[in-house]
Amino acid sequence: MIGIVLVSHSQKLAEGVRDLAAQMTQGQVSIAVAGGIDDEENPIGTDPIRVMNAISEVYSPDGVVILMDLGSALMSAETALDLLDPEWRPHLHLCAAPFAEGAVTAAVQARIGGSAESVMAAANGALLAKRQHLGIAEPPTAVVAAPPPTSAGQRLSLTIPNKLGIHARPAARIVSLAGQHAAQLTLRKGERSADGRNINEVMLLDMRQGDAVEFFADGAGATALLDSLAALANENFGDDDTAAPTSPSGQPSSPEKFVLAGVAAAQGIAIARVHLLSTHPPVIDSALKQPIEDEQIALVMAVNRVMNALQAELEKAKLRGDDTQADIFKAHLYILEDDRLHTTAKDAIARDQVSAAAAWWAEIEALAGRYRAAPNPILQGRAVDVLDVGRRVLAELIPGSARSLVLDEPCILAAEDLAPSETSMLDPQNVLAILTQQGGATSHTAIIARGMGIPAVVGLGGGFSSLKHGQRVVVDGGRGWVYTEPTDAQIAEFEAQIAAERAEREVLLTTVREDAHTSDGRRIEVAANVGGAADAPRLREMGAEGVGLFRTELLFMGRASAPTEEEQILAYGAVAQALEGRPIIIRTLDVGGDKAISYIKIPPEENPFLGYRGIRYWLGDRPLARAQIRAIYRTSAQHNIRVMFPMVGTLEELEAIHAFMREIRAELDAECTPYDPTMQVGIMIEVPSAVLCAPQLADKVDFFSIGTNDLTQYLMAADRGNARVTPLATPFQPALLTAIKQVVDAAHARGKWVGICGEMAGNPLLTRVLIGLGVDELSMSAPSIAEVKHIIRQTSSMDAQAFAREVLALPTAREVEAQLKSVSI
Amino acid sequence: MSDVITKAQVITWLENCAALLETQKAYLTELDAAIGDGDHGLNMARGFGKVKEKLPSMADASIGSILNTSGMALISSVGGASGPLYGTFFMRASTAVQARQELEPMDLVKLMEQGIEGVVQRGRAEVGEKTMLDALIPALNALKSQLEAGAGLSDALDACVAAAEAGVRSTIPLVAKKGRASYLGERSVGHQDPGATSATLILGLLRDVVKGSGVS
Repeated sequence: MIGIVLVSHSQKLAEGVRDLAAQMTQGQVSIAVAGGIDDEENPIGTDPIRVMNAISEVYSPDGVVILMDLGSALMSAETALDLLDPEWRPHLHLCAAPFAEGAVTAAVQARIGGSAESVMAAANGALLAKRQHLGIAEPPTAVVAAPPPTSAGQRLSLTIPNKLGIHARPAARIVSLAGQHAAQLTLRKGERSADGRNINEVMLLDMRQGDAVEFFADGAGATALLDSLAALANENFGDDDTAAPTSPSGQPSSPEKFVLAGVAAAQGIAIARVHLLSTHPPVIDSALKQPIEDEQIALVMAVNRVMNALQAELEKAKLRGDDTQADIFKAHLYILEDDRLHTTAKDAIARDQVSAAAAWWAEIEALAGRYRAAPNPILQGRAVDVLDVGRRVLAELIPGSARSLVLDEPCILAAEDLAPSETSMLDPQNVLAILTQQGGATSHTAIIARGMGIPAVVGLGGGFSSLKHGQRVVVDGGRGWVYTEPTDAQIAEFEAQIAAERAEREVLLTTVREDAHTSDGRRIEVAANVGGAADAPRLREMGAEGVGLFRTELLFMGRASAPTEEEQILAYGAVAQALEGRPIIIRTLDVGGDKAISYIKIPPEENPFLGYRGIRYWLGDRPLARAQIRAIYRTSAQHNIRVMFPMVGTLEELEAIHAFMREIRAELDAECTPYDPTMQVGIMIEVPSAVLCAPQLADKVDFFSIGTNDLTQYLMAADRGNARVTPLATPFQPALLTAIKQVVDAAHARGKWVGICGEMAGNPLLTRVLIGLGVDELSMSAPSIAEVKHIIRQTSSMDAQAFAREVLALPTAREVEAQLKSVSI
Repeated sequence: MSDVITKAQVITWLENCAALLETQKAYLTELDAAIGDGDHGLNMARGFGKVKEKLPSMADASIGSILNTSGMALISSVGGASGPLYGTFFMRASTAVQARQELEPMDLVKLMEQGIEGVVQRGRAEVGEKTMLDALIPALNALKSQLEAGAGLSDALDACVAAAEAGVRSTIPLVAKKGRASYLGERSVGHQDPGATSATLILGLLRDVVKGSGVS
């Protein structure tokens, strides 16, 4: 019988897993453990000598399967193999299966006398049943269409009685019985069947309560086996019943005649001709053009280039605060980070003598196919991501293979599927609606279409094939319907609806460029947060009256060294140019915390958010600080520039900043370099001490900008990224509102103005209360501007003040939130 | 100094390693805590402590045998991945020098080549994955090219250690691809690799002993 060795960092874990496995096999399998190391004070670790001894304990020429927990356990096990008798080596099998599941499954398979291969296979498949149960299964490859049952065999039909169905323990009991009888056992449920001696196949048959299952047994022990199985079923398969889960299902409503129904993915109506996007699969030449190794290297490099590009796009999306895009890039990175994908493709190049592109694409299609076959719709949607990122790599391997999305005239784009990266590149001017055959309401295409305001119907399924290129259709994104042969009356009705919506939008658009005033005439400046020049061109048209926060980190990222003074002047100037003379507040580099820049060396810190970041770092890196402040000053000669410093917590820091700026001004004066000596200087208020010292700080600045994201997390001592404490870090905390009030009062008492540049500023729920607290400027991501301006115009500043007093009197965040929601328009 | 490494120097070197790793325990553990499981300092101190215990009985053994015994001591006592890795390094290194009682400069190159080959096979790592190889491989290349260009052992070892130190610094911006640190992915960026650090400390001690500045 196969022996099993469990290698773990922890003796307790190894013993615990051994006990679990022994329970399933009634102690009839030899299992040895090698856990921990010989150090009483620090017992966690792995010891190759212990592994060697454990193997010796259970070794027989039948073989030993070795399971390891992680990290050094692998290397210790490998080292142990090197130390043992080389004649044993062919019989020792290192198994990559998950430690606990693998051990239990391996033990069950070992007990029925399985070979080393079958024990390894069982262990390696141990996660399938777990994944299937959790709805994240890959297609159950182990289970195939049922072969015709053997004619000579005997049959037992059963209805599964136990509530939880045939999960791990009942499955182990079935497999164990099968192993004890001289008979071949096949289980059959519907069209699928499973080998009764293979625990994974039995579990993957997914036998649930009430399912009709047939057991076919063939061989001398067939009768005895089926009798035992019937007895086991009578005992409820050994289960003590508790509640079992059920799953609901929903279908889209049935369509009228000449109407295709899909999933309503993004609202809006469009009437136009269909532009059918060819799915032309990329043309791939599978012939090897260069030596195998070069092809393999080309593949690895293509993957690396795409990963680097994705990493950069991810950073940018994060800086923009665009979580949807960031999530897509993250999902794509995860796919590429899977070593198995490249390894298999690399192996295929050598094995099949094909080009990197051919091997890669075969692998991508196979993976996408596995996702499509998954039972869970969220997983099915991943197929699009796989193909998308796969195509990106392909485009690196075959230049020019990306499909063109350039449209000459406004039309309705129809495609079997759109990759998320394609969706985000669409031009809303020419794409009036999107139709896809595949995808669901949570697909990336749907999410991005909503974000871009393009009506979309996805998941049209079979109806999609009836769409013809050039055909005029009406798309109702809100209902998920496509009128393929609209009547004149229908078209007239929809055109009227579109005209009304357009008129409404135009009113909003014409007023969005105008400066915002409250209904009683108080000016509130509404500005945009930007990360670089790329964001700038559309800002004015989106209503930005300036830039309230220019995060300069992006300029410093994704490169080998800091940008020069000249490069920075170009970048700052480009943004200023786009803003047509409106003020730009440049924040000096805020490195540290969660923002790492490769060439800026900040030693590892226990607590980076409380560490060397923001101005604390900046003041200590003179060459970097000098280049940046010179660039800012020099830009001020041409443009309306203000400067702002992050993470100031004390008066000393502010004085150090002023001293440094005086030095730089003296330098510029000596060179006769022009700059604006009256450039406004402000600080971010994000460290709680700055709130308390606001009166003293206000004397030495022109303005404050409250960074509510960091201020909230420092004030509440609650990490925004930690889900267990995020309820503490909400913008509704009375302490935060009181802090804002104190800062505004301190600044106004000294004739200084106050802005807000955190996420709070763009939250329409908070606009009224912020006006009431006396805030002078709100800076937010540009898409929020129109709505916030709309609210400002409808708010009277006197009413807002009274409202803010009411809200400030509320003692809990819950009450504040409830109050704001109850009066929101 | 002459241009050979004597057996006594090898023993002094290993004793010095034990002493230095004991004093650097907290530093290495701190580096490891940032990106790993925080036991590197402890593991290395324990491992070389075991090596030191074996040394008195090795006075009459060959250099190959000393290295082999040290490797076994490391394998059986370190507890983390550095046990099999450093253990393999020393055991493979021992096969390159066998029964020698002293080492010519090119013997040292061979010793390192074999040792590093063992580490590469054991860890399946390569340069750029934020491991001890980021220090060891540039160090070996520098040593070899200096010696081939006719430099003396002392100067070659200076270059070797300088290359290792540069290698350690080069690990800071890297994303860890191996070991526990690889679970952190991007978050491993900005941290110096503890394995590359300990490897550099050990090479530095070899240089000091050869130059006569290392104290027993």
